[in-house]
Amino acid sequence: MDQTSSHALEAPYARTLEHGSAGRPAIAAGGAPILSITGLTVVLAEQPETRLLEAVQFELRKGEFFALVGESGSGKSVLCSTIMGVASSELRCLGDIHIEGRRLSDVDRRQRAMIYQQPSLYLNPVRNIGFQLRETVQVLDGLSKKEASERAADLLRDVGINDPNETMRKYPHEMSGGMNQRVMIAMALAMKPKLLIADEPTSALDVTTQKQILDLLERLRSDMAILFVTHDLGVALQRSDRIGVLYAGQLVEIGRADLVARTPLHPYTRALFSAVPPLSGRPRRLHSPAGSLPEPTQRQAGCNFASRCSGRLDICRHTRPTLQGIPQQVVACHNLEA
Amino acid sequence: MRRNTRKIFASKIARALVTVVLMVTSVFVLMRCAGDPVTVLLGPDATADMRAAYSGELGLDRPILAQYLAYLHNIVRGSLGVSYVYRQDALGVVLSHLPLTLTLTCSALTLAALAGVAAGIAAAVFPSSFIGRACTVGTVVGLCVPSFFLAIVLMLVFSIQLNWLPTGGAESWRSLVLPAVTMAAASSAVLARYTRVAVRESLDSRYVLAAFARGIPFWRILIHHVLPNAAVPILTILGLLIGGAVTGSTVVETVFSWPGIGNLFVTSVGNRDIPVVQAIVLLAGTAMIMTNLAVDLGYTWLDPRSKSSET
Repeated sequence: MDQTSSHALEAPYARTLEHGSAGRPAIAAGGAPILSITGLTVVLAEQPETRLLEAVQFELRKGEFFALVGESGSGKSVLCSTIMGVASSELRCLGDIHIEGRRLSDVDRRQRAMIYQQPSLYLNPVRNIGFQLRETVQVLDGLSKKEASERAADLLRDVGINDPNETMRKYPHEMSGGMNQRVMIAMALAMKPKLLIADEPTSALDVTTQKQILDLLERLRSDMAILFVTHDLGVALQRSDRIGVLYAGQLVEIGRADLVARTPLHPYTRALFSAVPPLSGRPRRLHSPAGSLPEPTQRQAGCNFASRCSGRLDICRHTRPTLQGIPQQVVACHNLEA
Repeated sequence: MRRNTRKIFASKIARALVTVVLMVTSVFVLMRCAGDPVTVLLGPDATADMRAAYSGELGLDRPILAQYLAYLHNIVRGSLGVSYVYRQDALGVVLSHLPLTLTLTCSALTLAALAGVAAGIAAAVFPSSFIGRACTVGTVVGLCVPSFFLAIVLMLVFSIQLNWLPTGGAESWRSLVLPAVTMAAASSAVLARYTRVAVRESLDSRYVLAAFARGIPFWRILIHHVLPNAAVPILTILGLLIGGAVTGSTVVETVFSWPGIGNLFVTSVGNRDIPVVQAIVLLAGTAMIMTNLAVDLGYTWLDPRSKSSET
């Protein structure tokens, strides 16, 4: 490993001394967590040796904004649908997911809600917004039609739609992506969720709308935990408390957003950050790691990143690293001492 | 929005009218291509004098454009010539057979719609259960067995062996059962297949996934989200079946001696009763165009997207 990375390694330890026990732990959230995932492994039911997620472990607590980053195929969507309880029947899940200390299967569905990358695909095209929102409210709270309409209008106002009655008469194709995303968030809020999963909710939106939606989520976060899945490292750094990096189904690094940004420990995380163009100063050459993400069927016994890693050791070939480190930042890498 | 809708309606109706005119014209051309009507009427042994007299009487010696205009004029007045066999107005003859055909096709289509859509939904919702598999096998059989064969099998079993139902005629509701079931078999199989695909597609969509994730119960999703989306392709197929049913009953009517338009059509072709054949073709064509128009207008009602996507 080169000189710069060994310098980078020292910084978080120094920060531990500064922050002491006040620092936010990387895996275990303080107090009773809202979401707690332990040893979650998801395999194909037909081929149990094909692992889509492997020993995923982290906790989220109330008010927290957790960004999950990783490239396509890393298992982000599998993780989201598993937590939502709508994973495909072709998958088998091992390990535990608890919401507020109760097993996922015993938890009321409305404890968790989800918003998506392309909201217009997740709204029924032949039903108007009012119908879909009212239905959600009616089914969840057993309200009358009139009460449901009022509650639906309130929810739309909550997400910044000023003419709720006009909006409720519209169909998804008559609205912009940003407006549809607000409607999706209103539907999620109707469930009064403890956990909101946001699967790249702003990737398909223009920058201005993106900021509005992020501000909206920021405003709502005090009542819930937000699991924010994104490709956008900038958004992750700016908005989140903690960042988790998913690579080939495994969480390879979890840490406080500022620490991960300043001193990324995993070579993959470092590679991700070096692939982001700098906003200020001199432009520099962008680096991306050679090779590509291994397919779930081709994963080896050792570290999944070994074949692309410049600092790999002999041990990386045959032993898979586990998460270790200081409370505020953990990493799954054998070569920390390099 | 509402103004837009009215504009779409007007353009669709105008298009249907143009299609009617085109169809009427093609019938005229086809009739002229089908051979000299005089030869057909008088037979090959007729003398030149007889032929000339007949041509004059029928106006066949006039220029073709004049004949065409006269033909259009007659259609507008509702006169399609006199039947050679019945010695009555051809359209009147056809219309007098219409109620029986409508009775048969309406009962067959109602049966087909109920059975086909129900089987299609069941096959889509429970693909691997017994009922789902039975529906899939049933639709394949329904599509493959020709209606004249099914008609004979049904007749053998229910009329001749069991003696429950008559083999033909139109005396009571009991004579209606076998022809209606025979006609419904193929239509319901077609409907079931399309319904299954449409329902399956909607069930696999992301808005259904999102509705499940919101905790909406399955039956509510099926009725309020899946079926309204699946209705558009189902309506298309139903429209084609209705349009085709007016003439599609020909085989069944003939096998069961059901005295409707299909039966009349076969008899008239045999008798070379051209005015009646022409009246039936025009009527069936118009029925097809009108059902297509109704289906088109139905889309606008079922799928709000079609209002803004078309100009």
